[in-house]
Amino acid sequence: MKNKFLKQMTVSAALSLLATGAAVAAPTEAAVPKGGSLGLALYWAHWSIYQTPEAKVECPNGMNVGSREELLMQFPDKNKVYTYEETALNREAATWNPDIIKYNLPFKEAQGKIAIGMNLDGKVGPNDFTSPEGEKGVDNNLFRVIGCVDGWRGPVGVLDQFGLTRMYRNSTYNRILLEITGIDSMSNDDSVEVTSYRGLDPLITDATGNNYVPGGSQRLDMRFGQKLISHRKGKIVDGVLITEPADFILPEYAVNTQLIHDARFRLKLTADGAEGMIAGYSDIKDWHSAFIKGWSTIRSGQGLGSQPSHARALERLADAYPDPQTGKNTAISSAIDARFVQVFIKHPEGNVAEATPTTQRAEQR
Amino acid sequence: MRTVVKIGGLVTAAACLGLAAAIANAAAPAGKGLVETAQAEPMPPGFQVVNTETQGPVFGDPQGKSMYIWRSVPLRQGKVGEDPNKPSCNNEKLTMSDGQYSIYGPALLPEVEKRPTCTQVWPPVLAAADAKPVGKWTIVTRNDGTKQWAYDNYALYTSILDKAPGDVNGGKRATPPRQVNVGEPAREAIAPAPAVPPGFDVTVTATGRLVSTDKGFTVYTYDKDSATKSNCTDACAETWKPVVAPAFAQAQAGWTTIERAPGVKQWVFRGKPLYTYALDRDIRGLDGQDIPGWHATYTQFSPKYPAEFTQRDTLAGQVLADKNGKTIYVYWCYEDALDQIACDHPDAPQAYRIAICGAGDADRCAKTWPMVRAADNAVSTSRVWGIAYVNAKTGKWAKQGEADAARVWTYRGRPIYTYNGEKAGEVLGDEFGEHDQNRNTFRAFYTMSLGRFY
Repeated sequence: MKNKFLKQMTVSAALSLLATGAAVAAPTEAAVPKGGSLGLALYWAHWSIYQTPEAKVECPNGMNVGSREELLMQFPDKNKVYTYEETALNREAATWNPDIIKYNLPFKEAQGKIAIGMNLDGKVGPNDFTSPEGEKGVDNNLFRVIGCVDGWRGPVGVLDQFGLTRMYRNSTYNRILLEITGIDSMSNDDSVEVTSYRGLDPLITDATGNNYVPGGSQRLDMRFGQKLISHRKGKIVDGVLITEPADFILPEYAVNTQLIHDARFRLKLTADGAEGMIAGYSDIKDWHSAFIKGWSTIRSGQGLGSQPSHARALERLADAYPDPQTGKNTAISSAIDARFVQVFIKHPEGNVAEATPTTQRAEQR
Repeated sequence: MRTVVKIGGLVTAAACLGLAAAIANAAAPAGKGLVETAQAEPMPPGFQVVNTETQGPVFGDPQGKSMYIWRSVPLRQGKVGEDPNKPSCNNEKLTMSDGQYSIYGPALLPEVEKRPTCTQVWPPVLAAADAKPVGKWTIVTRNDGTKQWAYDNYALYTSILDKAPGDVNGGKRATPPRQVNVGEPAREAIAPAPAVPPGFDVTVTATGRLVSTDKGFTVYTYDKDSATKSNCTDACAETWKPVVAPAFAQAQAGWTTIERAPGVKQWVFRGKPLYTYALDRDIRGLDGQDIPGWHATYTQFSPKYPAEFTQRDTLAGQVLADKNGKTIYVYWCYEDALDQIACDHPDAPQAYRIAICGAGDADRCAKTWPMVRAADNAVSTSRVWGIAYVNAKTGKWAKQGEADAARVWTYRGRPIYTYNGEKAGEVLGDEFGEHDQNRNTFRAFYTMSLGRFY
């Protein structure tokens, strides 16, 4: 945990200094990729949580309990025979229909003034954080939701869905790619284009199978992955890609997607890929859906997570994108630590529209 | 489509290098009406092989009813299912949940006063006092002293959800998961091995019985090939790998070989040389079908879905959709009790489904997860896709004209649903339910899935 924390700090430090305009020694100029295009495949992602030793700063009142402990709070009488409807079905109803279930068991939000993330709204307000490197106005309310839940914390929190790199290894469902085009310089370039796609191919690993290596090819999923194509402008400053805000959809564990409004990428480009942060306003329905579908009640309990409690906290702490009908916020400021490996992106030949047949697959002769 | 073949008594299989003699109904021409052949196997008198619409040939009891086994599976707090030679499904009425794989402790089950016993839902296949074992068919003694048939050492049962020969409605799902999902106890129909050469496998999928290599690579055919010649060579053969046959391979029902190069034989099935696709992403992938001229290989197709349905592409693959393009969902459920009785059909308690789909509110459930209505003039053309009257709110069987009675489509005897929390072409309702979406859950009806558990 310490190493991850320090490493996080190192990368975040460089990125944050850039954000504040402080001078940073320019890295050695890397070669401009052929055709001015660089492909990146996401292979590691964690919701950003500022962690201090034993969580003393961010969780002064201790960590949250999970499903199992909450059930004991709700049904303490071990001698009473409850009905299945009262216990299991009642809790599952609350899990899958959080909008109508009244659920008020205690929940501890992460505290403190420091959080990892970006200043998403351009303001410095009383409820904002300061980054560990001193950047003010950091918006990351999701940290308040998950910061004191053991399963979300690094280095191997069991609920940390993105951290399950086997999902990236085993499945192409969440093979997210970025293609950076128009690159004239890998150190400083005031105008590049960044497009996200879903890829079709596995990632290449080294002989151990544990480490991803650059240089693989990725075909683009132009058929089922259309929804995941998004586009934004950016620039490269001292070797760091910084993009303008634009909606981004991240395919997740199981069959979920996470819509992130106004997503920004801040990635240090390396010879083998990129590392840094994605920040924006995550749709809370998507976030909750990923949690309840990726982790059943029993599994979330192992990480001391409680889906109904998370749902209430998300609703309470959502801070953007109010619903036009209800006025309730539908998205929450958040940040993701992310790592990418370099890949060669292979665009389909010919007209894309013609390359997506609709009749062949699974049709019966 | 049902074809019943009776081979009883002491007939023995003629097995040689795994290329056993096939039961009648061997190779039919490619196209509609294909029927899979099975390897011959000795059976007790009266037992038979019944060809089903979705599962291919299965073993049937003397009445033709499908027979099931229930292998034990370790769960978090214990196990469910049966060990070899130890039938445990009995006539004792269970009233409490067991909490074998959930954090929920024992609790009184829904509608407990009406709850059937295990054997009322899964009648054992009893053996006569003078019955004798045959091949893989053995006889076990139940706790009450009666004798029961077993196959491969697992006790046999029929399902009350199967109404006629050819029905296989007893198990939870029609298709096996792509990956083994630990913690998914399910009864399965027993079946003879498919009559395929060693190195091949046949798996139930939504569209039919898919042929693959025994490593799970889907096997394809090419329109431009003939029964005696492969026209996929050179660069083509680098993407479409010929399925090579051993030098001693012999022809059997539907299966032959060609010599595509001196000393190199390629398997041919029903007159078409076979290949795997180098760019298939997953086990039993179907990416190769997107290439014009190439087709996945099936021993038989499942019945076509109702004419008013369509297929739509989604982020997670191709799904079956209603006439409005809304994804169609099936619902799975079995109770968290030692007998794991199903709770996903109109005869079962609906409290489980209504908790998930409506937070206990039947009206909300009916609005959020409506059943798929059948058009007034819709007609069922198969057993697996049926039409029935179901009370749209309670979920129980209904009669035409009753309040809230709806004429709905059923799949394997159970209503199907759409989800009003999503638009056409989305699958937001997929995996909507408890315990890793194995129990009490809605699942999208994929004809081709990118997901991990299909």
